[in-house]
Amino acid sequence: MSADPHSAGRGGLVIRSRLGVRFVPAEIAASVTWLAGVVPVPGLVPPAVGIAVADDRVATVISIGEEPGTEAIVCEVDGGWVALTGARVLATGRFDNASDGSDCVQWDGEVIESIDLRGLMIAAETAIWRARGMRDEGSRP
Amino acid sequence: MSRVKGWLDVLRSLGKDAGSEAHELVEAEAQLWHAHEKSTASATQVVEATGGLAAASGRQRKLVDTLLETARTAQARADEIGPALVRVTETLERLRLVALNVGLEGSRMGDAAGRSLTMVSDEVRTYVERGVEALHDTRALVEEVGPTAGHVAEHAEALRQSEADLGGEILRVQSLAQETSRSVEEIGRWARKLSETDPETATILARAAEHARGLVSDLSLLKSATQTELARAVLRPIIEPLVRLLRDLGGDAH
Repeated sequence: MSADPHSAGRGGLVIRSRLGVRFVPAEIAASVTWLAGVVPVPGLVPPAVGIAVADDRVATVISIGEEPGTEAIVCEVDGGWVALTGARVLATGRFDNASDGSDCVQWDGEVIESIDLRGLMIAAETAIWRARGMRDEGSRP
Repeated sequence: MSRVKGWLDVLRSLGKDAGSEAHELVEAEAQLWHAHEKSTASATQVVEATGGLAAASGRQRKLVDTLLETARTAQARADEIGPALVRVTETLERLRLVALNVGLEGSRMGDAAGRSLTMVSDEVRTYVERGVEALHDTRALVEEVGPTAGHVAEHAEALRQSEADLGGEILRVQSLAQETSRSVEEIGRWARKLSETDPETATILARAAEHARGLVSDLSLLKSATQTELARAVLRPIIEPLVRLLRDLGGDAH
């Protein structure tokens, strides 16, 4: 299931989640770890579910699926740490780049998109601001 | 010839006596004592058999107790195995994470050493996943064992209750059998008081009357002089002492 080790390709993880099968490049994936507990933070709304200590770092926990287990993929995004939960790691290694020159890789005969972590973070922040806006709207006399 | 006729008369008179009221009474008494003897023997056997039943019931109760204890132990052990398997599964999951991180590092390195790490990671993850699947199946089986052992324990408990009921019934039967035995003895005592003859005499008389009736019946078939003469020759050594004995006993002296 791993990529061809002789290929130059791109190193990283192939995961399965609510988003589908996605590639997480090794440049942003720091580790796969076990989350002892997620601390809920007031004001956070899904997909952000709280914060947790992962590998001695405080990370924002973002749920991207309902896969069983408590493993989390710790990633670095713009100098901050994000722990992705609810995903299942399917493969690790170096994967061939997609032939169309896109950001995708090939795995198991399929073209796999890279995960859009920035997009995920923006979606999480948007959801938080939307929830805050609705709350403020409701409390206005 | 006249002597032979005399014997025959004696025997015929015995035959007549055998049909008399006295004979019937002796016969009835003999039958009574025979029945009493059989009843006593049967009552004794019933008492012994119920004693054996009670002993067997006691042994069975011990076996049921052992079965119950074993089933409860099995249930407790099955309950302990579940959490142990969960711990093993968690350990394997952690090992899988270690392998994933090794694979991630290998993918980052990209050189020959990185490739080796990736390959080791894949291998470890494959075995871990097989182990987790096997543990999952084992847990499913163990989860069946607990309730099954529980059912065995419930049935053993019901069996023990049933065994206790049976034990009570056996005790009751044993008590009744002993009562029957005592009653039969009581009947024997009262029969001795009411009867004119003791059991041994009644039996002897009944047996003697039976023989006499047979003898008379056979001799009555003798018709010709030749037959009578032959009978005299054959029976003389037996009949003469018999006649003497009957005279001594105070019978009618023909």
